[in-house]
Amino acid sequence: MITRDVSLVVIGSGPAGLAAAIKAKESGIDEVVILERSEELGGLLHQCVHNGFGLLCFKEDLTGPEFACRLIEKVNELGIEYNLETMVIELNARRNIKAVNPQKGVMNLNAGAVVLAMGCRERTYHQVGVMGTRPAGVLTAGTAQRYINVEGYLPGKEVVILGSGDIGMIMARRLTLEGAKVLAVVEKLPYVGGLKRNEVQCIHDFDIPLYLQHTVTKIHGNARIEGVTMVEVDGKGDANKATERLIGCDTLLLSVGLIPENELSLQAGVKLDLLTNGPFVSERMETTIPGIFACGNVVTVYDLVDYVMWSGEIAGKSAATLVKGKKTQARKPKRGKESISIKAGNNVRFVSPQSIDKEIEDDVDIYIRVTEPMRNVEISAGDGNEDIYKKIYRAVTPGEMVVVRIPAKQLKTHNELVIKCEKLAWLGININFERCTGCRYCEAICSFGHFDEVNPVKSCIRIYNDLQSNVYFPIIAGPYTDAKCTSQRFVVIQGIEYDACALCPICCPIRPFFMEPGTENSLKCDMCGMDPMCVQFCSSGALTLATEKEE
Amino acid sequence: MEKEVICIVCPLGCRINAVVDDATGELKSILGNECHEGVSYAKKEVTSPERVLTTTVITEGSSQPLLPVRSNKPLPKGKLKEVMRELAYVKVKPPLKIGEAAAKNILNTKVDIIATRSLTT
Amino acid sequence: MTRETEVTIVGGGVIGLATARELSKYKVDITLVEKEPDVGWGTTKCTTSQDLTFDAAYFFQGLGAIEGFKDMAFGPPGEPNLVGWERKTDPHVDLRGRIMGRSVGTMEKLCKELDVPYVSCGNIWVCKNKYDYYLLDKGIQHAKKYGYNNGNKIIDKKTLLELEPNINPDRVIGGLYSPEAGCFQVFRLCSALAENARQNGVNILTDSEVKAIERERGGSFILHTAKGDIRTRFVVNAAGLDGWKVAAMVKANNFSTFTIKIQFCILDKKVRNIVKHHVLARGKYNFQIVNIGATADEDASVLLGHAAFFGSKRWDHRITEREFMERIFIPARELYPMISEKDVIRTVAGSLTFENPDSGDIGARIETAPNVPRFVNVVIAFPGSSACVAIAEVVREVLEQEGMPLVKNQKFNPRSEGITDFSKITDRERDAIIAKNPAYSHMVCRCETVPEGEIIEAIRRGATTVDGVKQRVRAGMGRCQGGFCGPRVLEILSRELHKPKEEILLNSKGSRVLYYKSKYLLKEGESDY
Repeated sequence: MITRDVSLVVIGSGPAGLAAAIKAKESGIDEVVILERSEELGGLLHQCVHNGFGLLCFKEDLTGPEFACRLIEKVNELGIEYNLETMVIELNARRNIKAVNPQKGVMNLNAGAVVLAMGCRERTYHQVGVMGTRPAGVLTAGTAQRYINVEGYLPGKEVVILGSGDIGMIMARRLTLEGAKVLAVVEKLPYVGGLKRNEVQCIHDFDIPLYLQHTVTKIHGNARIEGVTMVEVDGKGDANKATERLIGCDTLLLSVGLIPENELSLQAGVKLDLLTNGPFVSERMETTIPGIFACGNVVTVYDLVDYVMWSGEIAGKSAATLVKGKKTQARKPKRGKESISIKAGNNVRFVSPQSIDKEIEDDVDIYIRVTEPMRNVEISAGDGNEDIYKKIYRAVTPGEMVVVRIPAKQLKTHNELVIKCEKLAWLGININFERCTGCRYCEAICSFGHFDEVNPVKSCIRIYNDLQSNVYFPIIAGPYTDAKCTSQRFVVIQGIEYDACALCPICCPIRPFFMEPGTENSLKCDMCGMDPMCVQFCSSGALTLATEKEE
Repeated sequence: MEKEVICIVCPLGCRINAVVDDATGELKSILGNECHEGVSYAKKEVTSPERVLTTTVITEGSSQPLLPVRSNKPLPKGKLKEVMRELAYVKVKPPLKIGEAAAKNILNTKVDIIATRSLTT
Repeated sequence: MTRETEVTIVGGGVIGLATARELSKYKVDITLVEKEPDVGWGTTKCTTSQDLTFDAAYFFQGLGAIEGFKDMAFGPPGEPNLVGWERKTDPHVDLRGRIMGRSVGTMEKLCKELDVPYVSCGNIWVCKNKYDYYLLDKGIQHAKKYGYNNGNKIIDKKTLLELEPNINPDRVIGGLYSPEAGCFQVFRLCSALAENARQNGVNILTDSEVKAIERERGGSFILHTAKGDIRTRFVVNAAGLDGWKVAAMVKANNFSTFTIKIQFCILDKKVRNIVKHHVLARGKYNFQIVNIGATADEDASVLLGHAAFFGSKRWDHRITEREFMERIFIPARELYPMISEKDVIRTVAGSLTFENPDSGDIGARIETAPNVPRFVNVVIAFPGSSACVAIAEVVREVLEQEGMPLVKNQKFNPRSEGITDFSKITDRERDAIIAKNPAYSHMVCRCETVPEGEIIEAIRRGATTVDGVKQRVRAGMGRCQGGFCGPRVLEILSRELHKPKEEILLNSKGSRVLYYKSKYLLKEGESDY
C-alpha cells in the first residue's frame, strides 16, 4: 500500500485530462499525476480513427490518434507523471483518492486539487425502452468501435443502427467501409442528432436508408439477434402501431445518448446539474466541492474535441492557481453573492458552466444547446433588464453547440444571467437612401469579404446613381426565393403563376444583374452570417440592420 | 443531368440542385444555396467529390492488432471502395512512425495511406 | 461410449443443483445434465430469492379467481369476491406448505456454508386495504399451520411509515413485517452449489441437452444427450420450463403445467435510498405482485418486479414486453411515486411453471409418474429457490422410496469458499491478495470494481461465457451494463479458455458476440459495398 501527498491529481487521460495536466504543469505545478484506467494515455481518442479533430484549436483536420499523439508528446516533454491501468475506486470531498495499480497495489493519494476527466458512458437499450429478447449481437456504438478499430473484429454484417448521434453515424460509415451492410439508421426525432457533415459523409454518401421519426421497439432472436421491429413515431414520441415493420439483421448498434460518468463525483458529494448530467461548475471549471475541478465530457457532452481540450486547459490552470495560492485549506469556491449564476432561458436546453465569479477579468465562453432546430434566431444573455450579449444566427440546431462569449467588462451588478434563444420574424437590411453619400465602402467590403478582391461587380450591394436627381440608391441582391422562371411568359412563384416576374428584376437568377462574372451563378446576399459587413462599414448610416422578434 | 447535394458548411444544410452537362460534365447551374459558400461547396461535390479516407490496416509482428491510417490527401469519392479492398490485403510491420506511409500511391491516385500513430512491437 | 451412472438429474437450475448437492451427501454416483453452456440459465434466471415469510399465493391469487382462471389473461381488476374461496386440502397444496415449513432457516445456513452473500434485509408485505388484511390473516394461518410464522409481525400504518418513510401514506394501511428475513443472489448460489457438488463428486455436464430417453428392459434409462449417452437407474426431472418435454420422452407426464410470465426491471442503485426493505404488495390485477428490493448486495441495484398470468400458453419467457412496463410501474409508483422508468438499467423476463391447479390452487408435485418408476418429476414454482434445500430433501426421500440405496458419504464437505469480492475487502486484504496474484490489481469492471483476478477465478470455477462471468462476479451488472468491460471480459475468456474471440458466447448456445475478423468481408467478396 502506498500513501502519498500529491499537489494535483488528474483522473482520466482523454483529451480533457491531458490538456488539464499539460496546462497545470505549464502553469507552474511541479507535481502533477495522471491516473488512467486503460493500458495507454489518450482515452477514447485511439479508437476514433476518423478525422475532424482539432479544426478549431490546431487549425488542422486530424484523426483521433493523431490528436492524442500531439497531447501525449507534450506530456512526455513536460515529464508529467502518469500511472496506467490504474483505476480510481474511491474519492471523497477531502480529495483523498484510492486507486488500484498493477505495480503499486492499493494507492492512497491525498491531493491538493483534483481534476475529474472521466468522460462519459453510453446509454443502453434498456434505458430507452427497447423490449423483446436479450440476444447476442446488440451493442452500443462505442463498444462496436472498440472491437472494429482496436481489436480487429466485426460484430456482424447486416446492421441496424438505432440513434443518429455522431458516433452512430460514424459507425455506419465505418461498417460499410469494412464490408458490412448497414440496413438502416433509425432516429426518433425529425432531424439527425449529430453534425450535418456526418449525415452527408456517413449516411448519404453510402445511400444508407435514414428513417427519421422512427424508432426500434423490439428485438427478435434467441441466442443471436435476428431482427428488429421498427415503427413510426409522432411528435410526442408515441408509436403508430400500424406502421410496424420487421427488419431482419444480425447486429443492432445503439447510439442513443452519452451520459457523463460521474460515479466518483457522486461519491465525493459533488452536486450534479440534472440538465447537463454533470457537475455544476464555475467558469474556472471548479465543482461545488472546493479543490475538485471537472472538465471534458464528464461535465457535459461536448460536440467537438476542441471544446473538450479548452475546458481541460481552464481546469488545469485554475487548479494550478489554487494549489500555488493556497495555504493549508482550499478556499471555498465563490457561490451565492460572490458569483453570478447562469441559467438556461427560452429555447435553451442547458448552459455550461453554470456560474461566473463576479471578479473575473477575462471573457467567459458559455456552451449551450438549443432545444430544437430553428432559423433566424437571436441568442442573448441578460438579466431581464438589459442584454450584455446578443448575436444573430441564421440556423441553430441541438446537435451543434453554440458558444456564447460573455464580456467580462459588461458584468456589473448582475446576480443572474439568463441565456435565451428567440426567433426573429424578419431579418433584413434597412436602406435609407436619403442618407447614402455614394461612398461605396459597402461595395468594396462586400466583394472583399466574399471574394478576397475589391471588385464592385462581385458585390451583392450596388450603389446606383440617378444622374438627374443626383441621388444614390443602394440596391441589394435578394436572397434565395422559391421562383421557377420559365423564361418565356410565365413565372411560377410558390405554386402561383404570374404573367410577368413579380420579383424585383435585380434578384432574378436569370437576369444580368448580380451575376458572378464568367459563370451562371447569381450573387445572393447572405447577410454575412447575420452580421452584414455593409452595415458595419456604412459611413453615413444609410444601411442599418432591421430585426423584429417574433411575438 | 440533375444532381442534388446537401451543403455541410453551416447547420442550414441547404439542398442544392446542380445541373451538369451530360456530354461535357460541366456545371451549368446551381440553385438552392442560401449563401455564397454553398456555390463552391456544391461545385466541388458535383464535379469531383473527394473524401479523406480513415481506416485501419492489419499488422504483423506487433502487439497492436491494427494500425489506424488515413489518406494524406482526399481521395476521389468513387475510389474508396477499391482502396478499402486493396488495403484489406496490406499487412504492416513495425517499426513505423506516425506520418509514415503504410502504402504509397495507392491505386495510382498519388495519395499515400499514412499511419496516424506509431507502430511498435 | 455410454456413461454409467446411478442418478441423473436433468436440469442445472437451482433445484437440480440443490438436489445434486443433497444426494452427494450419500455414496451415489450422480450426473447432472444441463443444456446450456452454464448453470442457472433457464427458469432460475428470472427469480427473486428471499426467505419465505408469507405464502405469496394468497396475495398472488387475489380473491375469487378460481373459476375459469386457466383462460384468463391478466385477470380482472376490481372488487374481490370473498365468497366461495377456500384453500382446498389437496395433497399437492399441502406439499407446498410442508416445504415452506421445512425451509425455515435453511437458506441462511446454506449461504453461510457456501460463502454466498446473504443479507437480512427484512421483508414487508404491504396491505393497501382491508381485503389485503383478510388475505394476510389467512396467510398467517397457513404459516402457523406449517410452522414458518416465527419471524412475522403484523404492523400498523404508523410502524410501516417509520420503516418505509418514502412510501405513499395515502395508499397503505399496514402490513406484515419480518425483520430477519433475508435475501440472496440466486445466480451466485447456483454456481456455488455447482462447485460444491463437483467437489463432492457430482459430474456436471453442460451443453448436454437431453434429446431422447429410452427405457431398458432391466429398468434403467438411457439418456441421449447432445454430448453422448448416459445409462442411469434413476432420473430426477428438474428441467423447469422444459420439464414437460423431458417427462413426455418417457410418457411420464402425470401433471400438466401452466406458465406465468414474470418481468423484472433492475433499477439504478440510487433507488436504495428510497426503498429501505424488500417490499411486496398486491398489484393492480390478480396474479400480480409488486416486488421492490431484494438484492443481496447492499450497494447494488434494486429489483422491481411483477408477475402476470397467461393461462396455459407456453409463453416465450425471454421476451420483455412494453405492456408489462406499465403494469410494473403503475402499482410501484402508487406506493413510491418517486420511482420512474428513468431509473431502469435493465429489463429481464422469465417465467414460472406451475402445477395445473384443477384443484383451484397452486400446487407442487415431487413424485414419480404411475407407470414410470424411478423417474421423479419435480414441478414447483414457488417456493422455488428459497426452498431449494427442503425440496432437495423431499426429492431424496422420494428416491429412497423408489429404492435408491442411501449410504452416507463420509467425505462430504458442506463448505465451499466463494470468490473474494475485491470491492468489499479492506485495503490490507487487497494488498495481500495483489501480492499473491497481481491480476487482482488490474481493474476490469469500473461500475462494480471487479479486477481481472476475480474474472479469472470465475472462469476457473466454471464460467465459459460472458454472462457466466457476470453472474459470478458482477462484471457488467452496473450502470454501463458491460459497455466498457465487455470487450475486456471477452478477451480474458478467449485467453483463459484458449478459444478464438469469435467463438466466445454471450450466454446460450449460438450467442456469439463477434462474427468476423477485420477485413474478412472485404477479402471474401461477401460485401455488397
